[in-house]
Amino acid sequence: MPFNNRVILACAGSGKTTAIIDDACSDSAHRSALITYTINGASELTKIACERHRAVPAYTTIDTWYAFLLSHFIRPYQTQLYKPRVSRLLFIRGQTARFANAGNIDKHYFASPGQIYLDKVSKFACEIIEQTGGQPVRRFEQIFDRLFIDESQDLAGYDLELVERLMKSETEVVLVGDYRQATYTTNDSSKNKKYARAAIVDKFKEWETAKLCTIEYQESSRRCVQEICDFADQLYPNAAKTQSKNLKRTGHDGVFAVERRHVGAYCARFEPQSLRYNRTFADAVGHPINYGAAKGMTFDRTLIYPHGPFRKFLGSGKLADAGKDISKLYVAVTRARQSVALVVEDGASLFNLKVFVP
Amino acid sequence: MTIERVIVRNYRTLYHTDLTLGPGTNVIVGDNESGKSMLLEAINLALKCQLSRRPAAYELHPFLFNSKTVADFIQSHRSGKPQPPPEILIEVYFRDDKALAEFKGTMNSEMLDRPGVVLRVKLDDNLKEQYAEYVKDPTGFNSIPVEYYEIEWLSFAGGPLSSRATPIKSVLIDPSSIYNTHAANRYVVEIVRDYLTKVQSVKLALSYRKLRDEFQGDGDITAINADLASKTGLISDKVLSVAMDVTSRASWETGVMPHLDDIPLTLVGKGEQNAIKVKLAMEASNTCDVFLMEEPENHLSHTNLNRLISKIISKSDGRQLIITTHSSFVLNKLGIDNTIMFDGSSGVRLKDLPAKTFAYFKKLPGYDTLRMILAKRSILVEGPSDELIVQKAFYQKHKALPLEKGVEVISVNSLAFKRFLDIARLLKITVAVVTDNDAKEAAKTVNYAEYAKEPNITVCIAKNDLWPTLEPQLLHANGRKKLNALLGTDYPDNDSLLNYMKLNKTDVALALFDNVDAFTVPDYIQDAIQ
Repeated sequence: MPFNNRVILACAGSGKTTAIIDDACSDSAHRSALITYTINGASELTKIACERHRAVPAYTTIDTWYAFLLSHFIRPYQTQLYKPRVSRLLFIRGQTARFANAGNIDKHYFASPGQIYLDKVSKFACEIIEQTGGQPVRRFEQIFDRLFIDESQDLAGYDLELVERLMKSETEVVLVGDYRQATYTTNDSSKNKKYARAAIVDKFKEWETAKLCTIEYQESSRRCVQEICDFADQLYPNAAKTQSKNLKRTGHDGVFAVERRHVGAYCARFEPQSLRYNRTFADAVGHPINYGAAKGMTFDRTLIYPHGPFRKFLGSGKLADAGKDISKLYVAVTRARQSVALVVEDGASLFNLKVFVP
Repeated sequence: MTIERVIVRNYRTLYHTDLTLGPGTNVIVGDNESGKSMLLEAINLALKCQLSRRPAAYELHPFLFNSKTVADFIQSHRSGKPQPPPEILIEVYFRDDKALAEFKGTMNSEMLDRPGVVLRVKLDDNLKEQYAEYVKDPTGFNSIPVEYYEIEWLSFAGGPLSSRATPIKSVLIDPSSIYNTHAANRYVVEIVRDYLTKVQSVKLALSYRKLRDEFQGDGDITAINADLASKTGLISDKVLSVAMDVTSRASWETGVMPHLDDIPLTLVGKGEQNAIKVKLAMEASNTCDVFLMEEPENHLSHTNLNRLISKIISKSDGRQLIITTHSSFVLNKLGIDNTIMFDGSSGVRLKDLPAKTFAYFKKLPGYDTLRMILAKRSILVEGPSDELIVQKAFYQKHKALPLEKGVEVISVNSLAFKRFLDIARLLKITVAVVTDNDAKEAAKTVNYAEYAKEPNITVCIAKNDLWPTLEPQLLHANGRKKLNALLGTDYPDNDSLLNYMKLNKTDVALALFDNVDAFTVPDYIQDAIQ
């Protein structure tokens, strides 16, 4: 097999991020790029790298996806297509400039001179590679021996085209991600829509069939106790079952329902981190974090405020009731090491859930 | 890692410059004011973003802009066809190298896929409004508003650069620009600091600090401070005392002076000082990829220059050396084939000569070639007697010997004329050839026709086959009577006089040269000394 590329599909809490950081930071013979989506994600990578390796080594580059695209795939060879230095992004969601065709570079890709639309960055990168006969890829190969992309379930649109090109390059590409946590897409390009969110696994499988990469599964969670893993697995019944590696017992472990009237007592006793669907759940206790924003975080105990569909699911146990935001639920449930408490109405009927009794 | 090419626009005397450099030694020669020093300064600026050893952003001033650029800009506004604010552009292209891949891209004016850096001094986008105000009244400004300018410093990959992580390490060795003691001292101390190992410099800093502490603990100083303290209230309400300066400014660099044989460096002769600076800089720069060196011959005797040049050759050892000079000695030592004739806009190297001519000069690395290359203007003649006559003719016309006017009269074997003219044509050197017609004026004219059409080459062939060489030409121009008088002879007829002249060529030329009375200069020589 000519390519050494890997896609690692890991479950929540598998320690996948730590593993790629160790990989990149302990191999001084190879230059690595560690890429993730958000600025928070990149600072999380830097934080872990510093904790485990004292400092980010000179041969390791940590960057966000967009900064990475700008510095290695857009700017170096943009001149053939576009003169003003592409200096910044316009962070707007949705499909931009839909009525300017791709041949009209100024209008199709740019909001103002040097300011590129968010959903067009990877498209423009692909266009430059196309027009220059692959110059950016050759430059990239000279600089980096290995490319790690964390949270790769968030790749979308032309990102996938670009990654496919890089998989065919000399540089080894390692994608790490959990499609169950595809809560977010990096852009809203109409390209590759059928692979959006959890369906991205289909794309990975196509790559594997085309012998561009191998897919590895990591189905053991170092974070969550078995009860939490089992509960979360209900959300993705077709995925392999998660094995817990967290054998610690505290006397209050697993998933519990907490009636609203007992929330105060529960919090006083277990001090959980509260999580909510979004800011409309203003009555959440403590300093709540939205489900989506909690991605990558770990707590000992959580207290989750379910939104409507989630409540319905807790009552019926039917996945069809859980709504469209399954990935967010999965993220929310898998944050805790020891216990997850779900806030329910007083006297609510529940499907197969232990109820907390103070 | 070497520089392949430099493109400069609007920087000081460099209006539009595009120069290709060789990977090893590059000796840049050219007229004064052609911009040789500016070229080194521009390269250094683009590589380090520094001017006069300070961050360039602090050193922006209107005179960094080319005067023609500024004049055009102002003129454009006054004539109602305003041009956009001028920009300074310096691009340094490196030879392709995997280690430089990060700096590689096509973000350069030539759109070449190379590693490189580009430095631009341009209008700050945030200050467009202020600029618009500035140019509102076209008669109200005489310069470029550098206050509204910023420096943009990027790699060819479009990425921003930082002065601590420049792709190519360079050192600019420019002893002549250090005019005061303080600056000279700082310069050397900086170089010494670069030369010391980490451990050594830490030790030096520690010893220096220890010495300061000892000063403070000294009994006499303590007594003095006690006495000063007792005066509290007289001078100030606070306690006055003396102490060594312990602020960060007062590091060892300001308190330590380099000595040579126990003499403070600033008191050593200028020449020795410069040699030391150059050698130290080269020694200190083991991690350096490119040496930029300006006129190493300054203030040095011939022997010292010889030693210095040998040192430069052995130390640069395969690394790129870009050196400017006016000295034929330096040029000869560093290899004539490394010479770049620079005129401010581009450069020509002797390697580009026709193969035959290049081979000729490789075998004969003649001093005469260098004289021609370095002279403002040259006159090539066929032999010593022609040389004397041309010298005297020049003196009669200009009341000064050629050399005083920067004109070299070079005596060349006439068979080699064409070789010299090849160089002159390539390097655009102003040169005149004075030659006999050997009774074949027409054939000679044809022979030299390809050179004569060059604007910088004048071919002066003796007129009329009846007077084939210098002597008959002189006789024809002056007549027997006048020539007899000038030579102190008394030949009764032209043939015997001519015979005498031909047998005593050099004596005749010397007699004419020494004579206070003027002789009539044959036309073709007159043409050469215009």
